[in-house]
Amino acid sequence: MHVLGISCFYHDSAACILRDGEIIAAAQEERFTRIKHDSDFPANSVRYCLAEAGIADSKLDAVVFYDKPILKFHRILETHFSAAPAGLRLFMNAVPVWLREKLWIEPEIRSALEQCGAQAPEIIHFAEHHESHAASAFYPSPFEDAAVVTIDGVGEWATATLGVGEGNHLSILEQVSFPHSLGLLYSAFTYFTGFKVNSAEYKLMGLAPYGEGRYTDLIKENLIDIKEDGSFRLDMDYFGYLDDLVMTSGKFEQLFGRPPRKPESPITRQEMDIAKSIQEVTEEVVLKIAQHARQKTGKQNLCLAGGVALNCVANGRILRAGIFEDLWIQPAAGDAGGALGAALSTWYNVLGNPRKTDGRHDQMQGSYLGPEFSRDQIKEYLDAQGCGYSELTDSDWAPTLAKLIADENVIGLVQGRMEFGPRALGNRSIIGDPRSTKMQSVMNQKIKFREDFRPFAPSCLEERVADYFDLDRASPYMLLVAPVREDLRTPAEGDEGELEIHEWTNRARSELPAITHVDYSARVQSVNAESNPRFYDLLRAFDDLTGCAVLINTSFNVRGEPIVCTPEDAYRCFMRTEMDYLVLGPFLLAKGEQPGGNSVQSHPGENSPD
Amino acid sequence: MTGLQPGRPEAAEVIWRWREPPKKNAEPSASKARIKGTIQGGVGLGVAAAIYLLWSQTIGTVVFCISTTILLSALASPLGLYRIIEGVFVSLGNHTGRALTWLTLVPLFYLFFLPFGLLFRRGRRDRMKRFFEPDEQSYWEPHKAFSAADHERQF
Repeated sequence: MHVLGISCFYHDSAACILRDGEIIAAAQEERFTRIKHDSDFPANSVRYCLAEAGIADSKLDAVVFYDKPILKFHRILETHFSAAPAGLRLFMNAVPVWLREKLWIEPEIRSALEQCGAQAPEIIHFAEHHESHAASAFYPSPFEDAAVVTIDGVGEWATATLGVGEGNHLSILEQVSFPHSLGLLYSAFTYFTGFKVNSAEYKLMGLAPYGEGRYTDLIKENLIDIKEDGSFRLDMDYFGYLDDLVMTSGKFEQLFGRPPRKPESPITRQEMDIAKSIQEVTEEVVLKIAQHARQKTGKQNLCLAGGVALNCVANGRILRAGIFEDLWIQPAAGDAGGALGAALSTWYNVLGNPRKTDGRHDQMQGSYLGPEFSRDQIKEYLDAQGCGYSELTDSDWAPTLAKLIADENVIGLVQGRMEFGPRALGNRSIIGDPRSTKMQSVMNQKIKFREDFRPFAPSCLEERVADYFDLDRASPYMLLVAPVREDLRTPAEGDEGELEIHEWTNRARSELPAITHVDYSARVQSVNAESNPRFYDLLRAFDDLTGCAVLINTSFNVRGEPIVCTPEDAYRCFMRTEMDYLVLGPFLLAKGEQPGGNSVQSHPGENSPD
Repeated sequence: MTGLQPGRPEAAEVIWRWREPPKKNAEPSASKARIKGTIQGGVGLGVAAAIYLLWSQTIGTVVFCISTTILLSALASPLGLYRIIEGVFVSLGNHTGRALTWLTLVPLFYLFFLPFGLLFRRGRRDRMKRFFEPDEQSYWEPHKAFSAADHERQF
């Protein structure tokens, strides 16, 4: 039996297909259309999923959409009842789109599926938004039973939920309702500090360690009322999203004594302090919710999803607080993962199929659920383009790449199936030597073309994680932040607070400077031979050569672009940046051997801010 | 982790079609534009005749002139003058659509949402709950239990 899950029409559209409950394929549409956060119907993703399942011309057994459009429309109407006479601009912006498109999602899905060559069943299912998130967190997890927490901007009405999963049954017990939203609170600060909402929240998280929590009390006294059980309300006088197209109001600006920062303008200490403060508030709420979840459900394990679950600093706090014995976070925690959750909820919760767990292994297959390109497909493309390349044998592959990395080359790596979710986990990654002091600034400025304050994440052999980080378990999806071990750290010089941000960033903080953030933290990916044998071999070869079992791993894209999908995307990105080598499956391409040589083929300025 | 499955090359083929030339915007075709303009002009002339005979000679003459201009421009200059005229009509259509949207939705907003919204708020039925409740222990609200039938509804 095949179940197709779809999420779309808001942001990060995606599709996923299950066969008899097993995840066969899942992919985000942005990877195919090359439009970041693409929200259109995921026609390419659906075509790909059907082809991966080998059912391109067959009738689907079930199709499920990841939220309930009429409930969402109800929330929008209630918002206007509440805001009128304010809110005309928002009303004129939202209502015509709803009347024209979003109220007709079922016929839209049927027609789009027909164009994809699929036959939809008689009934199309509609899961609740947070049910989809909760299902994406619990069902693929290794736990037989767990507390389930979802936190994001908003679904239909819920903005945060607490539920419990037992066997094949998942139920949501409680919710916090719109407009009171931790995700939207974080997004409001993202907007206020000059970053893009629904896109750059992770930058605010990355900026936080540079600041001090000078505004934490101000936020708690004025913007949010937090109860002991983690539930909360916002003072809506400070926010603009109920009655306008902006996130914050004039009162918010008065509170902080300044207007929002203009995008791309210099980042000041105030932005760093604001980032730190909102991060502290977020962590406090998330920790209290986790404590409440433990008390309410009595479960020993916690599953997390929703956009806020991508806040890996908060996730690390939950883990270190020891509230739960173990924690599992859906790697596609945002709306893309809703496609997966909706399909799983239908399979287990609606159809009542049994669920098996072993307490150790999850069902995500490392989140490598996207397309994979064969040796022959890649070779044919490279030959047709006249690219210079050499083919590495299986035994040469890892040692050759390890040597290149140790020589401070930056390598674009495409191998195996593409990752599902926002993180590159070694199959669509740019990798480098974390011991190099210049690597962070080289990779930020010449390859990724992004802000230089942003740190890189480390990938580490799973069995060596404890040698580098204060982390006592695997972190396969790069969703936990852990401190770099104390004995590897370089003591701070004490004048960091007076430095410009780029000078501060360029100070070495540990023996692995490129992956150590200013607060000595790192967003760790642990790699084992089971989940990604090739990447594991590479880490092992690098360890054998250098004694270092860690690599820099950043997503293979440039600013404003989705992560690469095909060898063609990767080659184009490679030629537009100052990457030294590109690996496409078994093929190694050196920049100097390509048509056009070492020249960077187009200006990075073409990439819009992300 | 369970069952790391390799991807199928046939599936990759579905979404990577590098052999196909990149899709460009369809080149405008003179013959298609000519046919389209002829149909538009012909229909317009028919409408002009009907208006002239059944309603108003003045308006019928205006519609006749416009339709003739469309017809002749499509036949004589399908990719030049006809495209300009067509562009003007498309733009006019868009602006008319926008104006109609405002004309219908603005009254709806002020005549329906404003009074009922005020009424609801007077009766403390504001779903937004824009107030803190210091005496309450919690802001958590109970969530309705799922049922399989719920999945078949959009609400």
